[in-house]
Amino acid sequence: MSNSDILLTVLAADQASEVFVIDGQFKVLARGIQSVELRIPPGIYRAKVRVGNMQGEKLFSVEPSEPGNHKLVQLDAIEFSSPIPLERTSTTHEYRQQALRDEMRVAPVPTVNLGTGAGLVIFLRDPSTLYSNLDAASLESYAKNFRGFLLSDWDGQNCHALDEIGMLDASHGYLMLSATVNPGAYALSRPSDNTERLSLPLVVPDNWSLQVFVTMDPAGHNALLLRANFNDAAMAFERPNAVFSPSRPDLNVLELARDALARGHNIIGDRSMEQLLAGKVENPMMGIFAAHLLLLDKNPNLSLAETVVANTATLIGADYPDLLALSWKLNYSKYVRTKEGQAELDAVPLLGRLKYPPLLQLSWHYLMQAYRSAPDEATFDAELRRLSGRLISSSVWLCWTSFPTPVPKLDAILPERESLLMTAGAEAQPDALAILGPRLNIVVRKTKDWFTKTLKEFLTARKGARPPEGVNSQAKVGGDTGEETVGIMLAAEVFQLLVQSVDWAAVVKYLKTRNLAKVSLNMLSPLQRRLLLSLKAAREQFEEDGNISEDSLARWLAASDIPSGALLDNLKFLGRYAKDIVEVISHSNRPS
Amino acid sequence: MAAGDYAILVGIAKYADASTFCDLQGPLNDVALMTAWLTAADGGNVPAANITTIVSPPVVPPGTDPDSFRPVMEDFKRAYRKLVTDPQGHFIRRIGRLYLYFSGHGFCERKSLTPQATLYAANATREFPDNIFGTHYALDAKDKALFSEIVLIMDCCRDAEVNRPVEVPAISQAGSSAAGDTKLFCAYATSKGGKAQERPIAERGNRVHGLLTHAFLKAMKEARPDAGMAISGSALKRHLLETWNTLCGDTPAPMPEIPAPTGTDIQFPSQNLGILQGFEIADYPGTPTVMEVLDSAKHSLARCDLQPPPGASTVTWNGNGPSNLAFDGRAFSLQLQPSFYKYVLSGGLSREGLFAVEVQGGLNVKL
Repeated sequence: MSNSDILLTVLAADQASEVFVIDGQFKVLARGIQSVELRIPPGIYRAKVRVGNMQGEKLFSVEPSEPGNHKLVQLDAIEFSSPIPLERTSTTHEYRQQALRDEMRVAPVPTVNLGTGAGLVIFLRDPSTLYSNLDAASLESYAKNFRGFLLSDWDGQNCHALDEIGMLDASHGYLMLSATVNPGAYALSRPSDNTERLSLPLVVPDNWSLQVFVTMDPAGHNALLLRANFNDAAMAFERPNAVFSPSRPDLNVLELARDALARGHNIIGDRSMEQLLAGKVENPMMGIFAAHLLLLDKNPNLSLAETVVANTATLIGADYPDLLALSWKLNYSKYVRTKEGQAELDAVPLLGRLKYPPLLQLSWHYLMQAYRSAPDEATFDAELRRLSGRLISSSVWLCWTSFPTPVPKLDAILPERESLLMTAGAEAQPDALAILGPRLNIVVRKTKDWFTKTLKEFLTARKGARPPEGVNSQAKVGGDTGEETVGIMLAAEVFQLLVQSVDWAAVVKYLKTRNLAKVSLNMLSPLQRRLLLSLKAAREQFEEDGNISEDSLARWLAASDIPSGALLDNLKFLGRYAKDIVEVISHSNRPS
Repeated sequence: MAAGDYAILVGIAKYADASTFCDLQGPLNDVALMTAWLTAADGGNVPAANITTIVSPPVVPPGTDPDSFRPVMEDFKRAYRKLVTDPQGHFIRRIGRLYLYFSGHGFCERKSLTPQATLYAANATREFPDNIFGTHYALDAKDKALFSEIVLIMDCCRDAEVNRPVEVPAISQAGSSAAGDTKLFCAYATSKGGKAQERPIAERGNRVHGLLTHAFLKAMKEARPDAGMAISGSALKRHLLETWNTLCGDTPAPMPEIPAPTGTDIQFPSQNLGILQGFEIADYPGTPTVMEVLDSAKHSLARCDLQPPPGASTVTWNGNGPSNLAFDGRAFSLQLQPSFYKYVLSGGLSREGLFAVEVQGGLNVKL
C-alpha cells in the first residue's frame, strides 16, 4: 500500500451477495459479503457480485484524484432464480406476477381438511410459459406432468393424490394444495418413470403452516415433459391464514440462505445476519438456515447460533427434528471450543426425542454424528433406520426413494428363481449366512467385548482419534436391530465374511444384465445397491491381495450416514439375496 | 522433449445404460485434442510413446452385453499399474509429470469435503454405477511421490451423490515421505453437484468438445504468462475463472472448480499469443481520429491513428515506431493481453470507456 492508494468501497444491493474486486492480472484482491473495502492504487478494476446462481460485474476506474481519496462503486441488484414467485427473480415474469399473487393470496384459505392445528401449502408450478400456447390435446398431455404426486404421512401411510385433493390448473401451469393438517411429519412424493418415487419430508409444527414451492422443469427431449425439481424446492413457514407477499424481503434472503447452504458456505455476514434475525418477521426457516450457516463458518459465532436456535425453538418447538440436530451440534462445537457443556453432549435423550426425519440433509448428518457419539443404550427409531437406507442426493433437503408398497419379497425380486429351481431339479445352494453361522457367533462374542470398552478406548484403538476429555461413557459401537444390540464391528465382520463367501462381481453382472434387459424391476434400495458395489470392490481386493485392508474396509463401511443397525440389516439382506442369485446363476449355466 | 512426462487419457462416449447415460459427442474429440496438445513441441512436449489413451470404440454393436462395454475401471487400473510399477510389481518413482485426463459422465460423493470426481465407466448402469475414481489415482500418485508433478483434468459432471460409491481401487496404501514435495494441479469441469457441458466449438471446426477441455487448451495459447514463457497453475486458474463467462457466451455454464494448487505451482508452457481484439466505431465521422489505449495501471500502451480509408491508419505501441493498422472505416483489431483497458478517443470523436479483453473470438469492443 502506498500513500497514493485510494480507499475503495464496493457495495452490492442484496444483503446476501458475494462481492469480489479483481485486478488487471485477474487476481481477486478482496471478497466479502454485500460490501468490501480496501485500499488500491489508481487503475482499472472489475467488481463482481454473485447472488445465488447468478452474477453481475462492472468495470470501473480508480483515478488518482478521487474526491476525499475515496471511490464508491455500487452494483445493481441482480435477478436470481427461485421456486417462490418472488419479485425480482428470474423465474417470475412480471406480466404473470399479478396472477401468481392472486393465486397465492387465495392459498392461505385452506380448501382441504386433513386435520387440525397446522397447515400445509404445496405449490407446484411451471416457471416457463410453455402452457400458454398449447392446443387442447397438447394441454391434456402437458397436464399429466402434474399427476401422480402423493401426499402421505412421512412413512408412506395415508396417501392422497395431490391432483385429486388440490387444485390443478394446467392452463396456468400449476397445481396447488392448501390444507389444514395435524401437526406432524408428511412426505411429498414425486412420480417417476421407474418404480422409485422420490420423497421430501414436510414436518409441520403446531400452529404453523408449511409452504412448499416446487418448480416443474424440462425433463428430456420432449418439450412437454416436465419433472418436479425437488433439488431446488423452497420451503417457508407462515402463520396459518397469513397472506403471501411476493415482496416480503426476508423471503429473498431466505432463498439466498438456502443457496448458500447448498454451496456449503456461509455468505451472510454477521452484521447482516444479526439484522435479519433481529427483524420483526417471524421466520423459523430462516432460523434453521441461519444456524446451519453459522456452524459452517471456520470460527462460528456460537453465541449467535445459540440465540438463533433458542429463538427458533420458541416458535416451532425444541423437538423439531432440525432443531434437535442443531442443538446437539451447537453443544458439541461449544464443547470442543470451551470444554464446557459436557452434559449436553449425551445424545441418548436427543435420539429418544427424535420421531421424524429432519428437513435438511445437514441436520441428518449431525444426527448421525450424535448417534455415533452416543453410548450403547441409544437407539434409533426403527422407521428412521429403515429410511436411512433409501436416502439419495439432493441439494439441501433430505430426500429418499419411497418405500415400495408392499415391501417386496425375495421371490418377487427374482421371479424366475422358483421356475428355474423347479425345472432344473434344484440342489439348494448353501446360504452364505448359514455357512457363516458359527463364525458369526464368534463375531458376536468378539463384538460384545467391545461393548465393555469405553468410548475413549474405542476411539483411540480404532480411529486414532481422541474423544472429548472426561467422557467415560460405555462405548457406542452399535445400533439396535430390535432383537439385539449390534455394532459397526459386527457389521465389519459380516461384511468381510460376505466378501470371502460370494462372487459379488458375478452377482452384480447378473443384476445389471437383468436391469438393462428390463426383465424385472429392481427393488433394491440405494443403500443396498451401494453395498453391492462395495462388496464387489472388496471382493476384487480380496482376490488380489488375499485380505481386505483396514483403510478400505473403513471407507466402505463409513460411506453412508446411517445407523450401524441399518448397515447390518442390509448386509444380512444381501447375504440372502446373493445366495438366491448364485442359485439362479448356477442353474442358468447348467447344460440342459 | 519432456521425456519423463507421461499421460493417461480416458474418453467415454458410449455407455451400456444409454437411458441413464446418454451418448456423448465430446470425449473422443477431447482426448484427440489433448493428445495433440500433449505431443506438440509448444504444448506438453510429451513423447507420443508415453501417452496411453483409453477410449470408447467408435461403434458398439447392438446387443452388446453391458459388462462388455469399454472402457471400464479395470482398463484404467491396468494402464495405471503398468505405468507406476515395474514387472516385479514395485512402484517406480519418476522425475517428471503425470497427466491424468478424463472426459465423460461423472459424479462425486456428497459427503466428501475435498474436491473429487469420478468418471462413470462404460459398463455403469443407474443401479450399479461402476466408475473410475480419477481423483483417487491422482492422490495415490502424489502420496507415493510416483511423479514429481501431477496434473488431473476431469471434464465431467459432478453430481453429488448419496449412497453411490466411488470405486476405490485396491492399491497398496503405503505413501512416501517425498509426497509433500509432489506438485498437484487439479481442474474439475464444475463445482460439486454441478453439470459439465459439451457443445460445438466454432473455432475448433464446430466439433463438439467439453467446455473445460476447450477452455484449458485455449488458455494455454492466450493466457498471459507470469513466469517467462510459462504460466503458473495459479495464473491459469485465474484466467480460466475470470474469462469463463465470456468464453461461454450466450449459453452460460457452471464455473469449473480448480482447487488451490498444492505445493509450489506447476508451470505450464504458454504460447503467449494474446488475443486479437476487435473494435468497432459505428459513428466514425470520416475524419482523422486518435484512439489511445491505457493498460489496467493507466499507463499508455498504444496510440491508433485512424484515417478515413483509403488513408493509411497506424498503431504506435509504446516505445516503438508506427506500424500499419487495417481500418476499413468501421472496424479494426489489436493484439492485446487478457486484462482490463481504457480507451480515449480524440480528434474526430471525443469519448472514453473501459473494456476487458478475455478470450479470442469474444465480442468486439464498441467504441
